[in-house]
Amino acid sequence: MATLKQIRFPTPETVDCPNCNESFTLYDPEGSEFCVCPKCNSFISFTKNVNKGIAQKQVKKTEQEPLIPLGKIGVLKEHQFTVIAYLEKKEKDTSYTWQEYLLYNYDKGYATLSVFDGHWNFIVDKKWEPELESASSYYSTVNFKGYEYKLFNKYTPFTTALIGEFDWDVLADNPKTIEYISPPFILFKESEGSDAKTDQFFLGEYIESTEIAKAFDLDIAVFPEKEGIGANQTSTFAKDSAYLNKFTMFALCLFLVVYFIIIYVKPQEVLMDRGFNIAFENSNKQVDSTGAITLGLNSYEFKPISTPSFSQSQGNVPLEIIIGSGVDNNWIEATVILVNEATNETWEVTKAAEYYHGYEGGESWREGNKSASIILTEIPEGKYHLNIYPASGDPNQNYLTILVTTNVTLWKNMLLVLLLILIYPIFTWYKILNFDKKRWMNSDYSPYQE
Amino acid sequence: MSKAIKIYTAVILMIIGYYGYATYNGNTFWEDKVEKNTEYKGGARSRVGGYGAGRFYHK
Repeated sequence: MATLKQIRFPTPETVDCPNCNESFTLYDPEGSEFCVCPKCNSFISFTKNVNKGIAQKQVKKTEQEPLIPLGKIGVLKEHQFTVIAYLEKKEKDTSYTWQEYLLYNYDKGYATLSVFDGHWNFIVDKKWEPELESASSYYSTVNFKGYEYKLFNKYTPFTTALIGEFDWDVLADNPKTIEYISPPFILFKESEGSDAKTDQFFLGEYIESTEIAKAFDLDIAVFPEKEGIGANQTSTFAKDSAYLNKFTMFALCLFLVVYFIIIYVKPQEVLMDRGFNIAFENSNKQVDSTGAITLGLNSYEFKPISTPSFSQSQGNVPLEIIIGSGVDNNWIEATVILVNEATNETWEVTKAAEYYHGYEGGESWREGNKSASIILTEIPEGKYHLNIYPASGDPNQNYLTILVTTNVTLWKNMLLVLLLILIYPIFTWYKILNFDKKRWMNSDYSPYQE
Repeated sequence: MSKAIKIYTAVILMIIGYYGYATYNGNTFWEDKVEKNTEYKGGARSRVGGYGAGRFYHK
């Protein structure tokens, strides 16, 4: 068992290979029970003879030189580690291969750095995460430390080549492995048999190669490029998602607070709400034998209306003028002129309302509206009246209602601000979702529909 | 925190601030097509043939 609970690394010792007599260094001579001779690749056991090992078998030479040299010391996750072994592994019955670096810490023991397609994981056991002892899977999920981990992959790994030292017989270690992910974390459940009591959980955390290069003072250029999306890799957008969610909620609340303060300080006020008779103004009107009215040129005009005065005294305000009519299967149009009686400043808007309905093909239909709304901006304090010039396709129109309101809720303003607040969070959510879908394309257990 | 999120934070705070300022001052981000001062000139109550007023189209 690895030497633990020390205050510094053990003193490395040089040992001789019992097969080729080559000398090499053990970094945890007391704790390591197996090692590989770097010259002849003998797998050496120290379990029966501490002073002189027994060469058990020859192992395959590693295909790659370790990126992190054995014996290299670095500080990762606030702990000091020595790299004591390098393993090349393969998934049984597939072509998937990956590499692992065994890290040794004098206090807590072993941790592992694994790299697959350029994606790195820092993996620890229950000595580092005691809660792993009580972890258990339930169907396709594991709940661990308040997070749900979803089944991602099942496989049986075996070691194809290795170098370094170990405190267990790594060549005899081929557990059935199940991966559960909750990015940036991953749980590995290793089972030796059908007895669930032998299940062991390991916790991995996605780690960027830049962090490893910095920890071990290595050139980042020698690290492999990432291919595809790692099982527990997080989207760059997901890194800020917790802050983004909180800030978006804060922004929405702030927006509502601003809105309610303004409607409290400047409440909505109805300045005029009344109806007006409109008189048809046509000297050329002719009624034929069927009762139909025939009109001459410009004969659609009605007499202009000038409303009584009204005052607004709330500073600059938005003003809404709603023109209502009884128009039916016809249209009405009015040019509305708001007149400031003190300055003679005017605001002129022409607006139409039309309302049609009918019954066709067994279905009734309707379209349009009997009223029209006019929104004016930044109307200053003062005394006003409206001049209205109505016209209609229906010369029988005889009534018009006018509703003038200040400080109306400007829904378009609100919707625009809401859209601006939400557009980036929605974009981020979309990118994270897409990223997650691509991740699960590497799994046989994707929660997304094919 | 990424640069994008910092920019988003600053922009949203500015937007909410501007929304408050604009709403308090009666500013609408959309208003109907308005023509100003077509009805009267120099205080004299004389119609000057403003565009639209009295010029109705027929359906």
